[in-house]
Amino acid sequence: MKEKFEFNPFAGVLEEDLGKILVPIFNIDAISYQIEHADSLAIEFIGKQGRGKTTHLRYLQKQFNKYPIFLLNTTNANISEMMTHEADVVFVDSIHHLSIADRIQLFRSKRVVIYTTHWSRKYACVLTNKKHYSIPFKGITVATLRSVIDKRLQLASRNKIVIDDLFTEKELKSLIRKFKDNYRGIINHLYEQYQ
Amino acid sequence: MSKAVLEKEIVIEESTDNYEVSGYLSITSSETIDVDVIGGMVYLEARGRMASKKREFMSFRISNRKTLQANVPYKIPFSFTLNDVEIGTYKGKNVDIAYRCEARIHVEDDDIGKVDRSFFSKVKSFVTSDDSLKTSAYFYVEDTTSTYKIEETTRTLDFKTNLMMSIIIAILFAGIYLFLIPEYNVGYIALGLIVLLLILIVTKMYMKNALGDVTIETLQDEDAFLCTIKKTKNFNLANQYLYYRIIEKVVDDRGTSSTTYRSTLYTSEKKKLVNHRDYAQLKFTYPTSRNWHSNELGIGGVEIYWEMHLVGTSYLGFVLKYTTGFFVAQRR
Repeated sequence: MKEKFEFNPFAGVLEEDLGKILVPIFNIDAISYQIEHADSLAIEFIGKQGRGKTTHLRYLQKQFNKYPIFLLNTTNANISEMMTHEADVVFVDSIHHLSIADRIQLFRSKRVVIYTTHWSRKYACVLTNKKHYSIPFKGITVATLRSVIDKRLQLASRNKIVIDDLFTEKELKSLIRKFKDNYRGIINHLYEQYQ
Repeated sequence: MSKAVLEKEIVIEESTDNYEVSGYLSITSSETIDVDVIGGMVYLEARGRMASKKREFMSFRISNRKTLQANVPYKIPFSFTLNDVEIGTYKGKNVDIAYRCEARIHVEDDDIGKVDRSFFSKVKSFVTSDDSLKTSAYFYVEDTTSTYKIEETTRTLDFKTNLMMSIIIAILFAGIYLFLIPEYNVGYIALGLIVLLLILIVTKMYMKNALGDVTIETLQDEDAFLCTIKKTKNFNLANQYLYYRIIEKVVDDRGTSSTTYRSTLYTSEKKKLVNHRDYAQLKFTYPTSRNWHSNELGIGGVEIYWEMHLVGTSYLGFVLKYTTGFFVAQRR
């Protein structure tokens, strides 16, 4: 099978290829409209790790290059850069790295904040009188998983190939039984198998 | 007039240790079209269990203006040298690092409309943002000449906590503590956990002090290296042996939580330390694979490192371990 592919199809994707492998779980156009026109809004991508929150956030931000994205982690969670940025819309990955006070300050000063989180930040929105819209990243279907896998296989293929059901329905169901809706767990497992 | 279908393939024939690369572009058009220029781009790509990364490495010219006659196969040879190479190619367990050579065929503006695009898909695109047609191939540069050179230095080994011993201490402590406390509540349980943690820290410190410091001195010895272990007289573990490991570390920082993957690429022969008092000298060979030198690979989150392990058994039967990292460079 390996000769069909240029690289491991289940490796992390390049920034430029995000749109090619994404299977959107929400209407991108509707969200985009809200981002551009809402007066005060917080959009929350909520779910456990490996469900696709960050991939969706990064993809959505690529549609709005004028608005910045801040990828926070334990060593990089400084709010000052966000506050000094002139944009009134910000994308924030892993907002839990900010303190409650910083989150409130951020929600007060920016018109729209789109962020990923494991736990709802609804109360920060209530305190800042910000409209709150939550998108849960939960659940998986065989059809979605097939689409996710097929797009990756297509991207890694040497030529434009027809992905002739490399994975049977039984195999996909077995992956879902083992990893539930943890897409990254499934993709990492397939990476290991391929490698 | 029917549309021109271009069949194209880029082939890398040879890539040498000196980073001289040669190959050819084969191209056939079903209709006669004029090509303005064919450019070549080389990228360095790291793909693995992390957000993959790509870096533009160099560009070169494959061909100048050319007319492709209908149904005539063309084979256009090219060669280039990769200069200032900091990172070699690498096939690992959690990451692959490879070069990708891409040919960009810029069709004359007047003929661009003649090219058939029906075979382009949204996922697999064969056309670039500037309307040129592209084809690419990955290649690895096989290292056949380099060797390893260890950093000649002295390092103190770190004493590692023995998990089994910690579990036994925890069980013993829990048994006594739960028997002694007057009632089960959150306060007592929290206090118990704090005391247990302190006991584990004190036990580790006591054992470390009782055994004393162990240092290793590393020295290059032609195509191998020498490791001299210097220990205190109190260091009296049984069945002592020494070995080293080469580990690939990849930090997957995709998403809201990061995960670190560590895979052992190589484990050396385990060498027994027999009948030595203050010090012992052991000789280790390097692995036959050539590009596993200590390296952060210049790509965020990807690293190869070497680790020395000294193992021994205490008189209570617990296996105790000392480790330290050490640096091994590539020698060309």
